[in-house]
Amino acid sequence: MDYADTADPVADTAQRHVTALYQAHALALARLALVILGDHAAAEDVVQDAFLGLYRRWDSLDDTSAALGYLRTSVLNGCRTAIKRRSRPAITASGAPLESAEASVLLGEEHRAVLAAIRRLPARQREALVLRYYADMTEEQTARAMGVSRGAVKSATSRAIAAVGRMLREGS
Amino acid sequence: MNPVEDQVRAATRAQAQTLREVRPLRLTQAPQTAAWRRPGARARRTRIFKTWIAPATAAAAVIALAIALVIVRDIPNGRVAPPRPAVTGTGVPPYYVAVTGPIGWYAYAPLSPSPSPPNVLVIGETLTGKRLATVTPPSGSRFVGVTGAADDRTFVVSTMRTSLTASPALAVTWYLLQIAPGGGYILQRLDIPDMRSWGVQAIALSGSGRELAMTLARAKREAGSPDFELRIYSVATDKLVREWSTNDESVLGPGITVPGPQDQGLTWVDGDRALVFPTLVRVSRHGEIIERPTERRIDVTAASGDLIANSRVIWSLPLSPGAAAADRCDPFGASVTADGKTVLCTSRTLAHGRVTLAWLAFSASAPHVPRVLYKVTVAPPRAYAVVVAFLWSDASGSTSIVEWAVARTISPSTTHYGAVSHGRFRPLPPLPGFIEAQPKAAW
Repeated sequence: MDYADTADPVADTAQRHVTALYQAHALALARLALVILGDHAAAEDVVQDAFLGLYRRWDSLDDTSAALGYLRTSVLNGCRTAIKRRSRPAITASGAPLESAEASVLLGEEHRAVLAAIRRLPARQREALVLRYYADMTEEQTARAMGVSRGAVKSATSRAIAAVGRMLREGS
Repeated sequence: MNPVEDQVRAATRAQAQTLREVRPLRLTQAPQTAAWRRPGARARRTRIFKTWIAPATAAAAVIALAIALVIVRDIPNGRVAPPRPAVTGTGVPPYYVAVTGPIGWYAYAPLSPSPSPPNVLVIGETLTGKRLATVTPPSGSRFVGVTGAADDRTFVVSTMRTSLTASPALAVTWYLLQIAPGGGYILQRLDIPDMRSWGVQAIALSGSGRELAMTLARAKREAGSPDFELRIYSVATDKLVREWSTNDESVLGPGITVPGPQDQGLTWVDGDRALVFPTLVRVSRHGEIIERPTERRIDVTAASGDLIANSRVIWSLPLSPGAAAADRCDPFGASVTADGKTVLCTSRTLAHGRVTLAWLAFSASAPHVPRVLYKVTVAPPRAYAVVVAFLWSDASGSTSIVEWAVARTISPSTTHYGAVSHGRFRPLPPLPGFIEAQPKAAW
């Protein structure tokens, strides 16, 4: 069925806008999820779910211009849920994240050590760290995305950096 | 910033760069939450799709480019000039057309990993890097794709609306770009029809510049309807000339690509008599399911209909047990040269602390053993990312434009561009508007 044949104009509008958002933001959001989760497939699943959620709720959105914020929050929530659902962490006994052969070639040893350390952080610290240093968000933006106070972001980030530094020193 | 912060920033960005594509969005009326995969479990599809599933609807926007160099006119007897020889003395085409700056996801800070140059179309000289013209996109749109004909003068570029407040929000608009002697250009809007709920993935202009081929995926899966199509439009008349479709899962993988030449996944061959497109065929090997890069050919005279039934396999990546690691293509990005006789691919290996990048060619006469067109081995820094790609090749694959980098940070200063011919690498000036690792340019 093409758009022209769509009987439901609400669904038609939602499809157009959600697909446009997907085209514009899916990769960035998937990368964000990848950095948090360390798993390509899981990151894509989280992003797909976020967009499907947006699609289902499109007609109930008061402000469609806030859709990107909704998506970002959904992805972060999805990452948290995914981490909780894991029966085992995606980390080998050596602490190295499980990655594809391609990724293992793409990433050098130093990067792998840092990423392994990030993945050992508590979820909130990991999120704060990724949003601040990967996504270059300000503390205020990070706080809004995480739904916490600016002070909490500052504290989580500081602790995360200290923990990563400690793990790197212990591992070296 | 302390060293740990630097390390975190570098490592997370390096990891993010390993994700180049996302699979297409499947909107369903009753979406199901994707099941969580066990850590380490193999994904059902290892091929990751790019984001460009933009369904196209006709744009009302009319490009208004008040640049002195622009001359809009119709060429008698059709819009496309006949092909001319288009190589310099060095074997590379004289002109490139590049899309710079944010093409999609980079446009939206703060998720952008780094500051980006503006999204414009640049016409430049390959050998000198000189910028001949700069074209800005219509308001609310971005240049997203570019593909060139064999004459190195005729290109098709696409724009996509990015404003959600505009209607229609998802429109892709196509333009014919012709470079005039001296670097002036002619830009004409094409009236290729609205593609509605289809998303454009790969595009390829025929060698003659008369037909535009594109692969499309349906953004919203519908029972009983094909998910993937290969279409050919006439550039002269804007009409749909041929259309093949399939639900074959192997095609849905590599077909999802950003419209642009770096995809090299959709190629006109044999004097525009056929198209070659990539698939990933799942095969069982030693108890493990792997996806094998495979190239299929379809004659353009074949009647519209089933894509698989009308096409045939012309090459599959050899899986011989004794194949050297360096002879194994990267899983994505194999392409066929315009003469249809050579498959090009890249490989990367890490051994004894050194990274070896290779540009390989499998010929039809010896499809199991690749020739090494060029190879470079470097000692990587402690933390590094790798880029290796073909950007362009001539009809036989004897001369190519390639890029490579093994560096902590992928940037213009760490990326090597050059022409490869007879086993030698000759540096070329960097393309403008460098975004991350992959310039979006056509020759």
